[in-house]
Amino acid sequence: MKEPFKKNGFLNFNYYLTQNSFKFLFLTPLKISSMLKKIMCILLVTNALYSQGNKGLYTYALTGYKMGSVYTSFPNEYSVNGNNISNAYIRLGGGNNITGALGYMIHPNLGFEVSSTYTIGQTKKISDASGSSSNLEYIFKETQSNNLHSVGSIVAQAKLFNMTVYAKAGIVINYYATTKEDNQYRFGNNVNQSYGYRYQGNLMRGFNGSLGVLVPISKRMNLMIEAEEVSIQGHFTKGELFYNNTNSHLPNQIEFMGNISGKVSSSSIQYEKIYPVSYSCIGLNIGIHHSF
Amino acid sequence: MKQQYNMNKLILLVILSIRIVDGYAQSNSKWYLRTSFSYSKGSNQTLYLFDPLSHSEFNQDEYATPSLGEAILFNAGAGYRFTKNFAVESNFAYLNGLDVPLYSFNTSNYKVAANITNRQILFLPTTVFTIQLKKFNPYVKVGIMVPLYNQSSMTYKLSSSNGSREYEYDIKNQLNLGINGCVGLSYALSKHWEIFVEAEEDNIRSFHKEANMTKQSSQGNLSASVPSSNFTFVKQENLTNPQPNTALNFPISFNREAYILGFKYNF
Repeated sequence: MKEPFKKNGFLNFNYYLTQNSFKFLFLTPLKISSMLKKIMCILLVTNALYSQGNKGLYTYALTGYKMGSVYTSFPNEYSVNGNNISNAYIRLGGGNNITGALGYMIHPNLGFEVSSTYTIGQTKKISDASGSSSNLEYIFKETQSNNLHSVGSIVAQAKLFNMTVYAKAGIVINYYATTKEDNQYRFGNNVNQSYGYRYQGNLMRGFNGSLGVLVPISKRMNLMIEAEEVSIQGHFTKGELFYNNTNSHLPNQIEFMGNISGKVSSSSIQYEKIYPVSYSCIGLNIGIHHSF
Repeated sequence: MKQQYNMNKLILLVILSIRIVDGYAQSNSKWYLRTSFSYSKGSNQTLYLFDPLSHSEFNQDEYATPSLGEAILFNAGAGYRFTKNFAVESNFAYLNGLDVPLYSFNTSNYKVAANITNRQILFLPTTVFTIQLKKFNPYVKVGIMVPLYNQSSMTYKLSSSNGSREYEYDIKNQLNLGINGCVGLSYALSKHWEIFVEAEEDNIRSFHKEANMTKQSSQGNLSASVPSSNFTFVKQENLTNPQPNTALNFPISFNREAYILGFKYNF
C-alpha cells in the first residue's frame, strides 16, 4: 500500500504534519494552552494547503508551426544589376516542429526543464528575377532550412481558474542547422537548368521565451498549448554542392570565413565572407503534458 | 514541568515570528509600482548596408555586421496581481543607445568611418509568473514590446592627412512590435519595498525609413564628394534605377540582452 505521506518517493512533511497534527497537539503529554493549540493547528493546516501543488517530474511532447521572426540578409543578392530581384532578405526560422522535454518542479510554482526541438523548415524564396541577360533567364532561388536545438529553461507557473498558466525563459543551444538552396535558370531555347547548395551553420546560442496553458485531461495528463519565441543567430560555416544540372562547372565547396583577403578561390573551393544568419522564430504549439 | 511549558511557548513564539516575517515578504496588496535601470548589449548582428556616398570599397573586405542593441534603459511602470503567483505589468521604457561603430574602411583618398546611436521609447505589457518563496521571490516574465518612438543618429566621418569632414544624420526607423522574456529575483526589504535583479532578452527589429542630415563640419581641405542631405530607404525591387536620394532598405536587429536592477513598491 502506498504510504499517504510519501509523494514521488519523498516524504511529504507537510502532509505528515497535517495528518498527525491532532495527535501531536491533543495527545501530547505537554501542557499547552488551548489558544496556543488552536494557533498551531491553524498554522500546520495552512502550511500544508500552501504547499500542495504539482511538484515533481514531468514530461511533454509538442508539435506546432513556427514563423521566422528575424530576417537574414543575403549579401550576394543585394547587387542591383538590372534584374528585377524581389527579395534579398528572408526569414529562415519558420516551419513545422516537434519538441520533447523533461522537467522537474521543485516548488508548486517553480521548475526547470530541458527540451529539444527539431524544425523542418518552410521553403522560402530569396530572389525572383524576371530580367534576362543574353539568352539566360534567372527564374528563382529559394531556400529551406532545418535545425535542431535544445533549451534549458526556468519554468514559473500559477493556477488560474481550473488551469495552470506558465511562462518559461531559457537559453538555447542550436547544434545543427542546414539551409538548402535551389537555383533555377531558363535558357533562351527553353531548357531549364538548376543547381543546389546545402549550407551548414555553426553552433549557435540564443534565448527562448514561452507562455502557455495546461488544461487538465486527467489526474496526471494535461493538454498543453504554448506560444513561444526563439532567438537564434549564427553564421554559415560551409556549403556543399549537392546537385548540378547545368553545363557549367561549379565549385563543390564554399567555405565561409571572417576575413577572406588573401584567399584565392579555386575550381573546387570558393571562399566567401561570413554574414549573420538567423533562425529566430515565433510559434504556436500543442501537445500532451504528463506529470509522474 | 514549568520549564518545559515555557520552552513550548518559546518554540511557538518562534514559529509565529517566522510567519509574521513571511507576511512582510508577501504583501497582500494587489497593486505595485516598479522602476529600474539597466544596461544592455546587442545579442544579434545586423548586415549594415547604408553608406551615404555608396563607395565601391564599402563591404568589400568585410561585411559591416554591428550589434546595435548596446544601450542604457530606464524603465517605470505598474503591476496588478491577479493571484499570488500571477500578475500583469505595464511599463514604459526609455532606451538611450550607446555609440556603436558601424564600419570603417579605406578608399584610395581617405578613410571612412561611421557610428550610430539609437533612442527608443517602448510600451511593455508583460505577464509575470511569481513564485513567492519567503522573502526571496524568483519570477519569469514574458511580454510584448510596442515601440512608440525609434530613431537613430549616425555620424559619418571622412578623414585623411589633408583634413576631415563629418556629417550627422537623424534616421527614422519603422515601428515594429517586439517580444521580450525575462527571469528575475526580488528580495523584500520591508512590507512595501522590494529590490530586484533581472536578466532580459529583448527581440525587436526594424528598417530605416528616412535619413536627414542635421549637421556637417569640415576641417582642412579634404577632396571628396558631398553626400545627399536626405535619403529615403526603398525596397530592392524599387531600386532598379537608383536615385541619389534613395538608399537600399535592409532589416535591422535591435535585439539585446539586458541586466536590470530596480525597486518595487507594494501598496
